[in-house]
Amino acid sequence: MERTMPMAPKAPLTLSLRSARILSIAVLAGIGIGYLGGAITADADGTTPIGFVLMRIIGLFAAVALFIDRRGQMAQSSDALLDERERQQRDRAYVATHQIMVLTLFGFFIWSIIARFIDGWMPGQEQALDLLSGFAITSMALPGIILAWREQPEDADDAA
Amino acid sequence: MLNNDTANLHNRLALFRAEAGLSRRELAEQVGVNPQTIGFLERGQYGPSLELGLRLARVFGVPVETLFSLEPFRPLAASLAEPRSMTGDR
Repeated sequence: MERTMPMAPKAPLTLSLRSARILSIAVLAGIGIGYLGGAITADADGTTPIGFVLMRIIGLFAAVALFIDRRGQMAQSSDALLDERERQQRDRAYVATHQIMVLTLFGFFIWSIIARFIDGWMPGQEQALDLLSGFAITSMALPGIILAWREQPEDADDAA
Repeated sequence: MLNNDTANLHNRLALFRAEAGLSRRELAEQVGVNPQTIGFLERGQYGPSLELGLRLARVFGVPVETLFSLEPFRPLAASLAEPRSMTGDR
């Protein structure tokens, strides 16, 4: 049976490898500092300092850009659209994402136990929702981020 | 980074492709993968599935062990030099 070349998904955005990696740092820094820092330093009435809100916005836009970039789209693609190497890359990115997110959740869980004994910081209802948002956005962007950092630069023959 | 545990898998894909006058894109179309995957295979950064290895061998009309080996292939220069030295001995 004749094989047909898998049709790579048409991504709305194709970033260079360097741009994708810079954006991935913006996502992790923006979301990490913006949501976690914002939750920790929130005022008594629940207001988040403006600097952290700006960090969140930067992280959110970077996450959306990475999500619609070809790497993010590859992470969302069905098996039929990818060849065996790309399927393997995608699957490995999801395994790594799962491990990172479970470790993060487990870290919060451990902190929630320790915080009771040392009277440490615990998020209020609004901060918990903020942290959940940051967690969800990071989960969405992480497979594309991992693919960007594992990607090999193309050589001249690839373009031919 | 090596994928699919290719540390002990060697191949002569680039040599056979050049001999056949095929671009990576043309070879990729014949075996049903994306052209970048041919580059990964040639650089030893990805070990193909048995099915893909067999399809590649079929394109060049050779047994799969002619293209892929667990032992390093002898350098082409060494293979070419051998018959010449035999001729010189005569």
